[in-house]
Amino acid sequence: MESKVQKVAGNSHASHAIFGNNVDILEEILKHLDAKSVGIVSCVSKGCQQAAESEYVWKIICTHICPSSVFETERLQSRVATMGGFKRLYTNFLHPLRSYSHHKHCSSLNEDVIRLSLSLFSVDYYERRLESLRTRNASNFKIHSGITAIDQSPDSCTDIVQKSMKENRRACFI
Amino acid sequence: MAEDPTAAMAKECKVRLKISDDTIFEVEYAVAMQSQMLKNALSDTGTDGTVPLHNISSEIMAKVVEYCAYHVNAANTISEKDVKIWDQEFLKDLDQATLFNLIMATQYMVIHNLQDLICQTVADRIKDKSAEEVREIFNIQNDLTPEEEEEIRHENQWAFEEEGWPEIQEEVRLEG
Repeated sequence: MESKVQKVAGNSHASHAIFGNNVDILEEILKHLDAKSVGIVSCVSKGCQQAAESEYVWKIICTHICPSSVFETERLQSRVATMGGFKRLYTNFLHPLRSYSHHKHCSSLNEDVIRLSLSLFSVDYYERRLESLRTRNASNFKIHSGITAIDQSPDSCTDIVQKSMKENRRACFI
Repeated sequence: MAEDPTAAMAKECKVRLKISDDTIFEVEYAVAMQSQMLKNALSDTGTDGTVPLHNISSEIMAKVVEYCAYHVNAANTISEKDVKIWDQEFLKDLDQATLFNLIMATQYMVIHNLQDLICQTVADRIKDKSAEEVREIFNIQNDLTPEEEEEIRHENQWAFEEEGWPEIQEEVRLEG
């Protein structure tokens, strides 16, 4: 192999914190780490936090700890993404179940544990959706009662009450 | 097995790469093919012209070519164990700036095995280290306020906890 190599002075004037500034490169590095190290790295700086939140990184971490290829199907990946993402799946479900497996001296995650974590993850998603529906219904109900009150006896409402009702109505549409 | 004509051509063909200071690197076709980006570029234009790689310096290009050339030769002739040993030697004593620039180059040129090698090596340096140690290794300034850092630590509490199965804190009552 021929190559014309010119000896150039080394890049010794590199700026400090080169790894810290580049979130893309940080993600490429973090994907080679275990989950716990990624969790710790998220506290290092703003750039590191951004890289450590990346779904790209957590998808790879989850795939690595799973013995079968269940996380590698596109269908499952898109479902997990819709229901809250791989980071949430790991930190709230896979991690505790892993700890429990270690506690019981089991070697690694088996199929049953993976399936259990996915089921719990789905339940968690629907619980959160239900909760947000309930809160929206509750605030809609308050607004509706407020509006009815204003309509029935507008004179009895002070300006402050009317203003806060208007603000609530606006908030609903944001 | 008769040598197929494209393989013979591949051995003789040289690919010309022009880098940031206008130096030309001439590399064997097989070596250039280690880069997906070059593979795509050359399949369109052929090997006659010069491929411009303006954002890569001489020093970095030399390392990249060294790696790719070794791996082309090693593909069927050298044992995996020896290749791994060579890889570690290749990266030894490189400073962070060089490692960083190498990662950028491998991203641009799309050379997966070299990119993975360097990223894995860098990752190994920060594995299981505390946040403060990571800051020292990478020379990163902490730009988080104490409140922000506390909040992130709280969100990622699981990563700071000791391994073990926690005691159940509160009773879970089933309704109904």
